[in-house]
Amino acid sequence: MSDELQTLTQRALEEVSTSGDLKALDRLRVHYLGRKGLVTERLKSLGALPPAERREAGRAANEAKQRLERAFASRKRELAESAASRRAAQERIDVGLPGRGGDCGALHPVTQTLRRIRRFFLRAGFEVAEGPEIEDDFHNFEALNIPPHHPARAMHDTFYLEDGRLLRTHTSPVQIRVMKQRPPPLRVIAPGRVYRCDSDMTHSPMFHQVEALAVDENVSFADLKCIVETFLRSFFDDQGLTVRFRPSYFPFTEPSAEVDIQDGRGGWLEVMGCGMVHPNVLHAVGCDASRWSGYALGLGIERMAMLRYGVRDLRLLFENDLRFLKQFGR
Amino acid sequence: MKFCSSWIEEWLKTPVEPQALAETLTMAGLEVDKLSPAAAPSSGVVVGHVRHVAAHPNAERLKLCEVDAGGAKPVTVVCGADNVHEDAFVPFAPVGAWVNGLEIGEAEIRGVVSRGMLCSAAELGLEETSAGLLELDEPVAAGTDFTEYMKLDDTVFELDLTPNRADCFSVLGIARELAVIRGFQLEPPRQDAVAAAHARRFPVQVAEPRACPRYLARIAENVDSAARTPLWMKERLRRSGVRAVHPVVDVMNYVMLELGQPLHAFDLDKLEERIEVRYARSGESIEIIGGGRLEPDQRTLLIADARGPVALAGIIGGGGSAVSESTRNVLIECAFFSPQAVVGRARSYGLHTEASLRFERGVDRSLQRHALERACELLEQITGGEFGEVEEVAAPEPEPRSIGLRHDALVHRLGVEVDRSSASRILTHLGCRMRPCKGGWRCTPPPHRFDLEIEEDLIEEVGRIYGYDKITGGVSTVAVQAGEPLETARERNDRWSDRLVERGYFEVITYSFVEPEILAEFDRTPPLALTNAVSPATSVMRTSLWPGLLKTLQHNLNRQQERVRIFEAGRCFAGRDERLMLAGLVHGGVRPEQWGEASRACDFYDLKGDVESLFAGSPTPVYERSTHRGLHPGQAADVVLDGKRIGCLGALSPPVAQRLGVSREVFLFELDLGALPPPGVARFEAISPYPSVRRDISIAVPPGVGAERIAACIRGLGLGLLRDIVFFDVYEDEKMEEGRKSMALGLIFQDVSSTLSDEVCAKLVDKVVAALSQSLKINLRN
Repeated sequence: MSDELQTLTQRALEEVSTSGDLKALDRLRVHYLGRKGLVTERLKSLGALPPAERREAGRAANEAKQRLERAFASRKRELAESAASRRAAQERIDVGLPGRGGDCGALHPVTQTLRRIRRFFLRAGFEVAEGPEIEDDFHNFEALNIPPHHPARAMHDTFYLEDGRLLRTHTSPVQIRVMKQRPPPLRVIAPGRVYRCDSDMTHSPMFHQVEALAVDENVSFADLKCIVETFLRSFFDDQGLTVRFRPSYFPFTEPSAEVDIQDGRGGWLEVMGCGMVHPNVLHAVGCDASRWSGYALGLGIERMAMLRYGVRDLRLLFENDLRFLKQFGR
Repeated sequence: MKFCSSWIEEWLKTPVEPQALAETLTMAGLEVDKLSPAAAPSSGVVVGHVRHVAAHPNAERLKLCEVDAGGAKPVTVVCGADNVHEDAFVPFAPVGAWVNGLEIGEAEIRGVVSRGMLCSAAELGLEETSAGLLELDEPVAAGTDFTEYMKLDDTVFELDLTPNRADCFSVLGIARELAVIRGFQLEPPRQDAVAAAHARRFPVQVAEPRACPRYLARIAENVDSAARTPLWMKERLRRSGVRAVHPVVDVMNYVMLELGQPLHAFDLDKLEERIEVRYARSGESIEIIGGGRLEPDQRTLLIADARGPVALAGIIGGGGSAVSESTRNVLIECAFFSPQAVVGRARSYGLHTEASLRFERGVDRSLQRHALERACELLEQITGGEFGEVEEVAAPEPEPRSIGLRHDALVHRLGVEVDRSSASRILTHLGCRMRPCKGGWRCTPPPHRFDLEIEEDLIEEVGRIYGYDKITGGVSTVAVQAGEPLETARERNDRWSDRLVERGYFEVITYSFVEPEILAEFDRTPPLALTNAVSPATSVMRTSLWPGLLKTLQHNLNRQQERVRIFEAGRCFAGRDERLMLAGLVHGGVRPEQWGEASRACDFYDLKGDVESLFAGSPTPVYERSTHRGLHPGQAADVVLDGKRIGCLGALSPPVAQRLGVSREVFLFELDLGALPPPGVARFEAISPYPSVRRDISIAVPPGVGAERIAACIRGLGLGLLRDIVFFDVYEDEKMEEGRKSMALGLIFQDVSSTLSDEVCAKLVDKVVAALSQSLKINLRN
């Protein structure tokens, strides 16, 4: 390579490496490699050389040109990157300010509790059944072994409609409807609203229950205990939960029990009632009590929700105060 | 039912620890509601003997008493009670004693130093109020510890008895149950029958032997109505929640509490000729004890004399024949009324008595003679008197019923191997007669366990006494069954709720009964009304969820909540129809207040977007102008799916808002979830590899034509290449013809097999423009 070309290349490389911005770099590129650039002119002038030298000179000139082009490209990348970095350094925002459009509502705690209970029973092989909230005397009382004037009726303060129908006082009538509809074996739960004309801190004229019913051959009280204990331990996420069954009385089950769980301080909290389906109930739906037996359990969803979320006053659940509901977003 | 542990101890001849007793009873199915001390805490109170009473020198109503409290010298005490007298034995709290939480100190009262206090029952916390000092019945050594003397260190139990355990409505019943469970010996108090002093009987006629299978009556002459009920009896009555009223009545109540058999005492001199047990006749009336006259209906069993009704059988006596201070001669009634004859009657007259409570649930029908003897014995001790012969009218005894019990049924039902001898032992302890037979027993329950009727009753008893806690090892495995479909309407409904939650809505649960006036703003069909509503504001069954949502809005607006987005899913009621509805309400900003964005109030289209989001992926409804009475006439749409109206949405009608007193920017929607088709399955469609082409047109739309019709008109052309229509601008300006508005829409075309050429697209646009012009009089703007 001629000394001249070498000097020119050397100078160009130096200028490229010190050029301060993309505009200056582009000017340099035009100056050296542009159509009338110094290096370009050099290449054009090769034609004037004698053929013997032309080959060698051409190779050298091309090499120099490629070297320069690489230098330009790499310097351009460098400058672009540092320009981006500088720009980025100036684009600081306050990341602590609240975001946009992230607000979410919440399901009512009773619904969340209901779904939790339902999930358990669906996994345990139960189906969900529904029945009307406006019931007749037969399904709400009579078929459940509560004839007129039975003392148990006094425990159900019933709302009546003008046409003689009533608002169901429990979800147990769904048992009757399901058993009348299809033969055993069956496993169903019936969640829903129930009504009693009673209103104070621990009573609401409307609340929710879930009823579970299993009828099969050879269903025993021990099986009932098993599902109840498993359910309560998974509902409260506590495998060590102490559960106790206390003899009690419901007209539609026999034997009957109230179920208590132990709280942290050793006291007992009543959480549900249950028992073996009374043969009179099986008779009422035309089910052969000598072949089939079953268990039924019923629990108040509000009560379970209050225990789970630490709500003390039942009335809060039906005030629908947003400051209350907002605490249950998930 | 209330009772005290000292009474139980007397029957079991063993001390019982109250907490342990409560636990035992609760676990036996006799739920203990409450334990409370029999008296307010006091200490140092002793029996004081009043030796001398003198007038207070400086106060007319006060007295100076010299009280022997067991010390070396009597103490001087100032006392204001009217009934204080010389030689009275009364509770005395000396200086330093604690009475009902107060320490007694020396006090100067009107210039005289009083060293202690003579106490009334109220001051000792035994009664709510009392008229004077609590005077003891008998001389007691002065200085005797009062708490010990009165057995005040006692616990009152309140039992919540289930309807099947009528046998436990007495001290006898509770003690009997405890004897079985804890293996105690049951030792009833010694009882001596009172021999007849004369042969007089009062005639009894039972016209209704089914309602009253047994009626016993006995005359007691020359009773002393002025006698004082002994303090121990008064105390037991008090601790059982019964007020002492008259010595004769107190004895009747005492025996009822002790044995569970209600008794009634008539003033014999006020009865005419005979007792009749019969149903009421029309036109009869009776004045009951405690005042009030009522006319019993013909289903009410009466006790009557020759003149008319003297008592409602098994419920309450008549005022005219009741014992009083002047009563000399008494007729004691001790009867068995069948539960069917009594149940529900007391309630129908608004009455609730200890007697009706017991008779309704059932009384041991073998108990009457025993109870009558017990009452006479106590009466003789307290009021004296000469007793006649017992008059008894009784229907033949029913055969004792025997129930078959199979051992394998017992084991199957309980799910635990209770062996034959244990099962038999448990039932024998409960008083059943057990006759073994093949595979089990014939079991005859004792008369007080009339609740035992079928095999399951016996299985329950065995399980209860064996212990529910010992029944373990059950299984919850389920034979594989199809169960319910994997995708149900319920799951779709849940997803819709979740979607609303994601869009910032809070779920609420409101009462199913609402105020009729508010409901009428939305629905004029007469709703189902409750006959016994708690209040007028909750008296009719809702036909719409909106009244509940609006009430919730009010509640929250009154509590500084500016932005309200709520929904409810619940049933509405019309006739025999129950429909599951989903409704929502929005008010306030479309977003919560944000630092970088101007706030904007919600409008119709925000709400509509929420509704549209629910239908994403399912059949899309059309929205037609609605005339719903509760909605704004210009801003309301019916949601129509497959030609069926399934709901509506819009702004709350301004006049309605005015009447309900709510701020007017409220938007509501309501959908009938039951009317929706079952959730379908998404079907995959091939995605075109070729680019889509968009052509925008600007059109002038005549009044009355809306987006829905424009889109329908374009879709109606059936252009296979049309993928989508986008409305991207809507405005009105004065340059346009009267009432017309301008709309801009983008038509998006795409083919699955080629890239669309400009010519093809232009032809498609021409078709659209021609159709719009022809059927909707819409012309293209330049």
